[in-house]
Amino acid sequence: MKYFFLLFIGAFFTKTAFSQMDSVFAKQMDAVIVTATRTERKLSNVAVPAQLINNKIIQQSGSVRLTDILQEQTGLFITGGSSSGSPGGGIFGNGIQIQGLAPDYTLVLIDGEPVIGRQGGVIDLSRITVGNIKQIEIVKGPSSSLYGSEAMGGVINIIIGQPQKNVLTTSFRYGRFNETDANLSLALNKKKWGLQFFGNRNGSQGYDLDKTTPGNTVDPYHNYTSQVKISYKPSVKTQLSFSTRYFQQVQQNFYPVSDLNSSAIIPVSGNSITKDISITPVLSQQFSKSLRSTVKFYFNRYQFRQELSKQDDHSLYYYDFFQQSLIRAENQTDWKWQKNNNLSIGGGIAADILNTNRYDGKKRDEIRYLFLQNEWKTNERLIFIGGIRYDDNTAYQSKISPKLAVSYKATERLRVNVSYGSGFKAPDFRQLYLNFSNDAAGGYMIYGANEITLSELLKQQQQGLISAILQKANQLALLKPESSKGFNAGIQYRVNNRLSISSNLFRNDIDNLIQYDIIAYRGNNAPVYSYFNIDKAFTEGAEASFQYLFSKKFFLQGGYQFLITADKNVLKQIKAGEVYAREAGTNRVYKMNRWDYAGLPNRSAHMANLKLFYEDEKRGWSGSFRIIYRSRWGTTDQDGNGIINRRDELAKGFLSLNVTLSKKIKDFKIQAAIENLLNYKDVINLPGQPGIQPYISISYSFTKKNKLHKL
Amino acid sequence: MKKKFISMVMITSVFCGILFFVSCKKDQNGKTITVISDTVKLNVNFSANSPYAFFSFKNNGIVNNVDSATGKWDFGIRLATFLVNSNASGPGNAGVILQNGIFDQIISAPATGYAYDTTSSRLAISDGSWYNYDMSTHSFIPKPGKVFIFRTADNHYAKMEIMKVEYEPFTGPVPRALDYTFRFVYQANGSTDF
Repeated sequence: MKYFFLLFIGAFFTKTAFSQMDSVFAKQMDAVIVTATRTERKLSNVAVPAQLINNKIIQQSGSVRLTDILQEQTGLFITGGSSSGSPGGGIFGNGIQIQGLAPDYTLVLIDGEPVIGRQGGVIDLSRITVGNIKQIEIVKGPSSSLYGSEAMGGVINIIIGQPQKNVLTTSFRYGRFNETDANLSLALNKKKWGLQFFGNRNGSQGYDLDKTTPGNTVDPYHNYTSQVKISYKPSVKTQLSFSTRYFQQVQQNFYPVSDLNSSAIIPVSGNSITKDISITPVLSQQFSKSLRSTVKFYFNRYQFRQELSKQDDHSLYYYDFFQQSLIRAENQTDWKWQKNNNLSIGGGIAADILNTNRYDGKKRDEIRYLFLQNEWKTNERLIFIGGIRYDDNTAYQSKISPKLAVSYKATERLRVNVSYGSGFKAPDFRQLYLNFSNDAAGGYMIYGANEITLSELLKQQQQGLISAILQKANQLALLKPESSKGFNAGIQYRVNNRLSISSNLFRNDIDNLIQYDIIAYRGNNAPVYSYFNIDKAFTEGAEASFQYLFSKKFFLQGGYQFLITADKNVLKQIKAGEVYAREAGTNRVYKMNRWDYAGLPNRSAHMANLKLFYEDEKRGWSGSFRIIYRSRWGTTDQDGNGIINRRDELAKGFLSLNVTLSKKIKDFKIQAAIENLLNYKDVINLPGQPGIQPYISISYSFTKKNKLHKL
Repeated sequence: MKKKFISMVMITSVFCGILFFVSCKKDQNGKTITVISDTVKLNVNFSANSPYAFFSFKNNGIVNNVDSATGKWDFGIRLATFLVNSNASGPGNAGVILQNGIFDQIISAPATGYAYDTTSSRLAISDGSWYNYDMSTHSFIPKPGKVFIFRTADNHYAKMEIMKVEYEPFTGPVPRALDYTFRFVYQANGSTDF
């Protein structure tokens, strides 16, 4: 707990803590992370690849949304969609890729509780403001042994701070495209009580990158976030907290469509409204020095509603409603049952309820889980961590996820970490519940795995609706979750008090990827599809990063990731000489070899960043200069073989330069910044990147000092 | 949508004889082989209610729709659906094998293994077997390395490769037709060698 406070003061407001940059650096190394083990551990002591971004870095980088800051981290990439529909571009918003795994396979937590509301597998991270967060914790590699579904590529945990002083902060930012971001936060502490209020409004008029196509690239939007956290400590041993979060976004959609009957172009307009509300009461009791137990309840409801109507006769053109609710009760007990052994044991029950016009009726999945983790410090140098989790539910097959990690402190400066564990992801709603017939395009049908059985097909065949049932239909069953086995091996080396380097090798073998396949033919020869566990893939690579404090005022961070990915079935087919490609222009067909295959789409082989942070505490100046690079990546197949192999199937790599400069005058701080200094744009592949973006912001912070300050 | 319109539609097929060969060459046994080798652009109706475009390898040309019930044609296309002149589709003895390989390297047709249109809903060429549909551009992209080996309606052999499928230029929301560009080699002497 001591570290917790130290970090807090180091990272937040206190001026004195920053007078010695060396100590700041030391604190960064000693910062506490909870996500890696579900218990507070020093970042430098965790056995899995982990990363921490503190509030200071977020502020100096001028980030306002979670996407802003994550895209500058080593090995992380923000994936955008392909058209309008969400701030920052992308119909399904901006998700995060970790170790080459798609956004579907990353668990996103706020204060340890999962964020829900995936659209097309993606949680739109631009939904989340970073105006009031203490730090972002990133754990790479599978962590399903602690967190269950989705923790396959990694876990991102957004930690909301609990300021220990009375502070009022307000800020306003204005940028290109009339982008505005306003924050108000208030923290009050009195004896046993703590109150924290936070409010944010964010908006933009949107933009249009391609005037030749109808509609905007990003439609205008505005959103509000509010958070209230009340904590009460009746005694030293008992801690109670109650937090709520509410997010609402309205986006004004407007675009022309062509009428099927008259060929006329008719504008349609309407709103997309996203709402996200959560309530979390937590009770934590320290029974003895070695025993602590926490009970958490969590309610989260995500809702998306889009209604578009034609502007000529005001008739309804499109209606979409999607609501997901998660109710969960969880207990975690940490027991130091021996001097060298820490045991964490926990379990929970949850209900995941879906109500949408996309599928037939209300869907409900009940989840029960148990997890266990033991940390064994054999001596001062060697730590073993073993964990296992069992997830049981009603909608798909149950899953056991083990993990083993070893950390060895070779010298005071060098630590070696190796871990091996499994991850999984529950089948998504579409794969379970879809019931869709496309009578416009040939009349094919797709059934979610829980919507069709062999006997139902046989019944339909007797009724003459199905003409033939294929062998594959015999395999219709409860889907297995998509699963992975991940291996990580890395070192952390503290060269001296100014320089630290770390590197990590990783390999993820992904199995049971869900894909659709033909199960039958309808009377009109159109295929009937359902979902099966078919595909296998892997991602592997290496990551290296460093932090260097080269004077009291300058701090340098940098990182690089090399990545190889592939669909294993494609590799097998290439090896067997069964995969062909077609040359652009000439249409010449040739047999592909391994090195013509560029791997899974949307993955870059090389990603790098270099970030310089500056702070002159005395004169009140601070700033940053950040360079982010991403090499070319696969987009869409052009030659019909379904894989990425041709140059015209790859998007160009790019470099993004970002700069901020701030001046502090008394309690005010003015920041001017330019994002994407080189004005890089790629209309097709990066709709979320509107080009150069200057902005200016002003903030005011009023702190009433109290005793805690002297800690 | 507009039935009157459809019934009046004649299949307008455009032929572009980009290359047209009737070549004679000798195989290893010294036997003369006569082949027709050509690249053809075929205009195919888009609507699932319109007639098929029928093609004959022997005549290297379109077969009029009134002959749809005869053995004059070898295959027909509508949208992305293939008919082969056999069983449910016609009186011919045609069949097809969709083989993986490079067109030029396939030098002979197999003796057996040809698929028929068993019923109108179980066709020899199943939907999606030879193309990828791109949802964003709505294009039909022929899979590379898919070679159609035909036994024709009158028991000759041909190999065929679809090179591209383009939309006939259109205004309004619904396209009228697709232009298929394919190349083929037809063995006129009845042997399986190309």
